[in-house]
Amino acid sequence: MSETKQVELTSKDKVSFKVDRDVILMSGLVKDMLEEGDEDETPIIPIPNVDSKPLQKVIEYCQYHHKEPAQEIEKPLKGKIEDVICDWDKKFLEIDQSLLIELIMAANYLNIKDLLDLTCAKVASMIKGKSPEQIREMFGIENDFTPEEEAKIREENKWCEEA
Amino acid sequence: MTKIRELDDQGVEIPVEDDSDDWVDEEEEDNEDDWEDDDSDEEEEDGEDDDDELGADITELFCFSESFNPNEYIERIKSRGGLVVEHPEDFLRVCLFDNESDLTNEDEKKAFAMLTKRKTREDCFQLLSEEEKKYISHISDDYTVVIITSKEDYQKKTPTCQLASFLIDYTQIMVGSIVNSNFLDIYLENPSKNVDDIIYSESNDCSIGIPFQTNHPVFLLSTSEEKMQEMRQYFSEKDVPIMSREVYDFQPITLSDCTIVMNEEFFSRDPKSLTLEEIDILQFYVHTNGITFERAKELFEECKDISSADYDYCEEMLKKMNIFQQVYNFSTINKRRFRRRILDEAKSKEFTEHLKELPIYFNDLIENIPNEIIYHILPYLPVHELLQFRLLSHVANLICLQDFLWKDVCSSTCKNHHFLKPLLSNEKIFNLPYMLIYRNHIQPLIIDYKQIKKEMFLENLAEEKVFKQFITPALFIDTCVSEDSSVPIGTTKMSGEPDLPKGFDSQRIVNLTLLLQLNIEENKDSDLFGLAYQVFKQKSSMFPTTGILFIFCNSDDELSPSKVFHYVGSTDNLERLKRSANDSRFCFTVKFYEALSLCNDSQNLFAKDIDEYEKQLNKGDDDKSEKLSQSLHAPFLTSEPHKLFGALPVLYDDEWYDENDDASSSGSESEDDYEEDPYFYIDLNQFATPLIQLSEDSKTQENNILESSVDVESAFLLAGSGEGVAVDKDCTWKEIMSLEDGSKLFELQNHFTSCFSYQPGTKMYKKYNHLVKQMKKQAKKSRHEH
Repeated sequence: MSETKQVELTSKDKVSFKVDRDVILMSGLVKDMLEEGDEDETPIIPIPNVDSKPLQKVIEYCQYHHKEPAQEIEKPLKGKIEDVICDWDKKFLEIDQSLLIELIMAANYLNIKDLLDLTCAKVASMIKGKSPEQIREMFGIENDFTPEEEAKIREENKWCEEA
Repeated sequence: MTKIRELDDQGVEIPVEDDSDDWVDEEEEDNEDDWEDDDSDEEEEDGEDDDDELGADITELFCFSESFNPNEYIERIKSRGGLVVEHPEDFLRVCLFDNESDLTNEDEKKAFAMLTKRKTREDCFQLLSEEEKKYISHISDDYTVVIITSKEDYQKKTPTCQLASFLIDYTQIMVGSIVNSNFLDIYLENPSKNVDDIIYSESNDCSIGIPFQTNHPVFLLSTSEEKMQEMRQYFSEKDVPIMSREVYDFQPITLSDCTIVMNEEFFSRDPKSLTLEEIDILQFYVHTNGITFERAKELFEECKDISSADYDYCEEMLKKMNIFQQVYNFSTINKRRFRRRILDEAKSKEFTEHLKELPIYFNDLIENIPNEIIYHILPYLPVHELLQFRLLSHVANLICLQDFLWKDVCSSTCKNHHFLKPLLSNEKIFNLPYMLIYRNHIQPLIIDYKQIKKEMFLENLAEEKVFKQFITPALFIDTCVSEDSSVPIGTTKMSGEPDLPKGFDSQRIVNLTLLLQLNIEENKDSDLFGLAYQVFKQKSSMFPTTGILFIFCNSDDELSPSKVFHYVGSTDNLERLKRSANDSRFCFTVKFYEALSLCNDSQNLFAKDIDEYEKQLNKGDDDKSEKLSQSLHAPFLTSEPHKLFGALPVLYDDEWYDENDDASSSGSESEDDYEEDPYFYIDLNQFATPLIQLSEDSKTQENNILESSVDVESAFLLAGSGEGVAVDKDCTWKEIMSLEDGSKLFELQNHFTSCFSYQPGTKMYKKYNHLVKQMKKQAKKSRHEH
């Protein structure tokens, strides 16, 4: 038994990453797979849904946070996400929107709850304070409401106390 | 004398400015020395000595306004024991200067600056006769001052009139009245009448004034838009502020300062046609008065105050049109629902059905992002932004209406607020979709919390952790007067006669009033088993979940001050008790709603420095707790309504002491050990929890009005009877009746009765005094250690 057991992850675009077993156990998916067939040598785990770029980020996240568990992010967000997370996470999230979405998908697929929370909260933080029109533009959503339907929802929403 | 010299130094430098009003000061101060008294000693420090010197008989001072020549009256007034002030303007000015410290609010200070800019105190004081100087220092309470003026002088706002109305009407620095010359006729012709007899008499027709003070707003009611326009214009020309819905619906107001004005035609309105806003305004009638617009104009014209007859006329007319019944059927709960945007039962049901019809399966909102990710993102948004997300598209709207999304929103919100914690239990407390739980039960309490914090927290002066602990949900009772005979047997009501099983021995409840008959089944879908109940349940398991609960009370009977019964069985076995010949014809139907409540007197425990806290709390004229009741309940309430559950007040050590506990009979221990501790406060919630607490003055005023119109008999709703029943873990039910069909009646043992705000009640005192003593010892010890 070597001191630090390793696992090899293969991304969708066939890039391999060797990671410490302890680190990648943060992924619920990997953990389940490792439990199924416990082999002595370095197991190779294919991650067919995730490209190398986001996978790299996922590993980066796990390497930092497996020792330094993330603080739970309070719902709803008070202010912006940057106000409530640690400096390392702030830096980690300095990525473009498409990579962020890929990262969310990866976290979801690999079942890494803290990373999923962090990235989802980041998206929420990006949505916050934006008008419906701006949000539609952000995600390429088409407005299929008639003005009457829209007005009706606005009317229905009036019960809510503005923050 | 030092005071005068101080002013002397500064006084000369104050520039004498011209007033902008059209009054021209006529300098007629040539004969001032004629009035100088031979008795020209220095002012005495001692008030009593002054009285002797000045002649104890003089209690009435007369000032004449500018257009009067007082000469013909001086001797006659003197012969009646009164004194004519020879230099009224200067006399009043000095009074004003000397009482500057009494002015507290900004408006008063501004007016002071305006009124005093023309002359310095020193200038005025020098002109006064020695006799006048002597009266100055006693002016605030020892004398009644009569200002005799004419309508013309008053309308022209001569200096004397302006000063007098500020000193007497606006600030009450001076006791007295502004009157016309009729007053003198009455005074001089009736040797038996003194000044007070005339100015405070019912038929006083000599007062001069204006019907509305400029800092007292009016509510307007009218029959047409044109009339309303006319009224608005009239009052704005007179500088009378007009109260609008935008103001009273969203911020508390001092109700006693307001007057309702309506045009004469309003009395012919059909009460059923009243708009919600008109009903709102009429609700304020509980704490204010009304006058007709026509009369108000007359009064302005004649320079007269509003008399009680004017108010009475208005109230009489409103009663005649049967308006108050209509008004009070519109209740606190409706007002609260409106302000907290709570959906009522019918609309909640409708919305629930609508939600059920929505599809569960639909396309992804965003390409390449499955909706499950969106559901993960949305709870991080504040609720108003989450709702705005609905506007993106049909799919987004569907996503935002999903129940499990709101379940997530509810549970994360509840984690952030201590008073919502019971909602986190596995059991679903409210049988509603989570979106409606948020809307009807979570958001309203969060707003309550913000309001309580805003009025009572006082940043830096309160310990937040302790403060929070004293904010609890309570189940408030909204009452609506009804005829007892029209309320079906076994339904929920307050007052009236109880519906007890046939064969019940009415001797058990001799002299007891029915506080509440609560049909639990009937109220299962209301807030009855909401948050307040959940908190209660943690402390006591006495509250039944089926059947009917009866709470009786009698504050006068020390031995059996209250009784609580619980009936389980068919309502067919119940009959309405007929106890007295003059049946109490009225009762109150009730509705329940939840709101937060700050435990009475808890500031004694959460304030870091109680003196400083109280000082800040009482700053300004506003009653903070009155304002709080207005913002938590309804704008026309000045105190918390009656409530179930919630928290008991905090008692001061002195209040904890039970006056019925005779020290000699209960042994030497209590005599020796009893020692008042000025720092010690007892949180009654340490050992007991309230079942019901009646509000001391909730709806008292409404009853006053109702009483005269519908003859309500309701001992428990009268002012001052803040009764309550509390329980602890030792309370048990004892079966007292068993019927053939298995129905049973139980009586509650070992509960406490008192108006807990003043005293714990004998029973609670006896049971827990031992514990309180220990708490005191500990508190003392820890203080010593500090």
